[in-house]
Amino acid sequence: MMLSSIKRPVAVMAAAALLTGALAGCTGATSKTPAGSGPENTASGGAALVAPGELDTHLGFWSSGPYGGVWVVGIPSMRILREIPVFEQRAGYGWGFDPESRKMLQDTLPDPTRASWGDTHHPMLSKTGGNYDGRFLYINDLANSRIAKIDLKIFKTVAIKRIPNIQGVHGIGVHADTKYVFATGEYEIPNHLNPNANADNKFQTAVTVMDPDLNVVAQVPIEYGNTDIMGTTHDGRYVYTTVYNVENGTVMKDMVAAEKDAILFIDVTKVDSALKEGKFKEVGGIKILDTNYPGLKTFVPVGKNPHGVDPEPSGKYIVVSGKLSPNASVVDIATMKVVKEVEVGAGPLHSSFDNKGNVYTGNFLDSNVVKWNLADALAGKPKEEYIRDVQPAHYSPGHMMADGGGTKSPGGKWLVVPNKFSKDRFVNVGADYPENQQLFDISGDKMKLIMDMPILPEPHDLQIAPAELFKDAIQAYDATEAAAHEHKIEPTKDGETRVVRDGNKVTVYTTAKRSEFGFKELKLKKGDHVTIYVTSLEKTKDITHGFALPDYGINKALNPGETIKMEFIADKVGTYWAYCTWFCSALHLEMRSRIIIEE
Amino acid sequence: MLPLWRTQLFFPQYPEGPLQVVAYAGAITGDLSEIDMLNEYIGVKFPHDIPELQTLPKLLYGVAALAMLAALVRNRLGLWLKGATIASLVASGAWMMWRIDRHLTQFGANPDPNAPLSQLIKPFKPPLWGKAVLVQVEAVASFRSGTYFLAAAGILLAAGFWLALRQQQRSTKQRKQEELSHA
Repeated sequence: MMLSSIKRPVAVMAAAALLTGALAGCTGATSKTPAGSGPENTASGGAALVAPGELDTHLGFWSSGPYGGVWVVGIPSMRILREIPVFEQRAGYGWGFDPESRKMLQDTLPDPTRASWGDTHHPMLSKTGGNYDGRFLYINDLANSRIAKIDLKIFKTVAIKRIPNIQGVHGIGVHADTKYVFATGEYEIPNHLNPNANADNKFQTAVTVMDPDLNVVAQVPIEYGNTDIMGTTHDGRYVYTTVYNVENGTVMKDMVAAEKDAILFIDVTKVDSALKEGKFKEVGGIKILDTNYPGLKTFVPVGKNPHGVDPEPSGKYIVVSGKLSPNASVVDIATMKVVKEVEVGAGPLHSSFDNKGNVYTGNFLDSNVVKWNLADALAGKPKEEYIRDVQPAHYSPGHMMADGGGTKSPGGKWLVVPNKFSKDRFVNVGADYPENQQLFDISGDKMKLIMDMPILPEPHDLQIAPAELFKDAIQAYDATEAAAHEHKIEPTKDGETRVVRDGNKVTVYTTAKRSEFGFKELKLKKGDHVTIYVTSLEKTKDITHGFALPDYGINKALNPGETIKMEFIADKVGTYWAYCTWFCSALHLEMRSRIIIEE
Repeated sequence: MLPLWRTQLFFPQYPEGPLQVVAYAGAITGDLSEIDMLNEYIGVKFPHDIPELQTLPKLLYGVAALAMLAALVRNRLGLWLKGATIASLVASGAWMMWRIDRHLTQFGANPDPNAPLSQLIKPFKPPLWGKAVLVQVEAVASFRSGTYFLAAAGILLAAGFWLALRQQQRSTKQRKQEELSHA
């Protein structure tokens, strides 16, 4: 009798327990798709927007991170069209194996005997009147404190400079008319830049001002804190940078201690006048400006550890993304004051802009992109009104770039969100995850996710410009100009291959065309110091040859009209077949000639 | 000046447009260095500098001079001259087409058997007019504005001859009538 009365409630409770337990175990089965990213909000992929045979409307220039160079990507198809090698050797493009490019890489390293690698973060396109002009791309190397200039007429790196007195070039800035190129110094190191330095300000950095060819014009010493991300105003008046370590901390807890950090504005007109008035001290050939020159530097306090600084198109404000605060701070440039703290989400890192007065801010911790209207936010409207759209990002966006987003004239069509984690977005390929670059269509009221594009680790930032800015990039060189400009020689003509011997110095002038080199056989003596110039006789685009010499580590691509120069010491006796490295013609394999090195 | 004849070579891997050879009275132009390079694969050669480039301009100047003369001279001599002009224009035109045709025949008659792609071709003749296909190349040949101007000139000359003839007949008839009326 008693047993049965106990049994029923126990049975019910046991059943309830089992049920709840069973339900609890069910949560892992369904995939968590955050609201808004379901099929109704995606289109069929960027590649579908550009059919086979059609061309992209825009080009994106991505930093490739530790690949040390630049990816050039067609937008909206998100297809990688090429790499521009910068700080590392790339046999595929013949970069870094010939004397000129090798010198550019090695001479800018503190130890020229080791292989060059670079860590590129921030590419910046050259501008005229505050808009991209398609001439140059500048990019930093965080690992070796270097900056490079790429000529976009030929899509090649033309200058690399190591910046003195600082460590770690991270953000860079380009003046609105490319009058100057600016570089940050990320890390604070002991130096003697500031003649007024006392024991408390031992660790310092500087903002470096360079001309468009990367010659250092001056350095502005920064004795409090570091300099991280950089930008310039559309009128060319200021260069500004985030200072996230005003505490001058050397350990993490000190770096995040203060409630406020700063945006540093440097008045470019004051840089010019300080130089004119001689208000600088020359240290090691570099003009270090007087840190107290009136009006040169202005620190604007902002929420702690700010990250992105982005210029909105009208030129009145810059938007500072708070990183450790939930706000984007809008700084009024004329008054140098924060005029609004705009709540956008957890961990805002970077912002970009469209042509309708909207700001797109990525929140790292919320893992989303927020579209908010600048005018409404400044007018003090509530959050539900100024925030126009929120879309999830997969996952944790870093930078944020819309087409023309860093200029006076954003296009308002595409937004690329480079995410830091890709998690479940791609098939398992091991522990080194691809990086997910997401393309959003921002032409409508709501942002539409178009596609996920995996990219090699680890890009950071990008620039997007209309493809037609680059339509005059050279695809076949004028032979005379190319040889004169690169090597100060005449191009070798068809049938005029010649070998010039001067003691043990041998110079060979030869040609390449479909499908043969100008020489059938070259006889050298062991110990010869050999220089070979090869001129491409081709005039047709896309007919690229190359020259490789097995066992001698020589490899260089040869574009139509170009003349390339290779150097080696013939220290190994034997027969070596120089061969064409880029598929050029039906007889590509037969395009080879013997180099015979005798005792 | 104006082109006389042109051939266009359409290749699948030249989407930007066909390669061309364009013949003028005194010169041959076009994508000659590119075509030379490609011709090496099939073992043929086209001379850029042929004696016809010296001869044809002289012939045409001659016709032009004759036409001027014929226009100025009246009566029966004028008529003969006009006739001669037309004949020489037609002869020059025919000669020009014959020479182009001969060069086209010679061009592909004996491809070098040691050429890389010799297995893909046999002796061939690119068309003087119209379309033909060789391996992956489609050739399209046509006469151009210069030739049509010459043809138009010929028509004008013929018209001029006919008018002169009519005038000649009328004046003969008139003279005969005058003679009769005096008799």
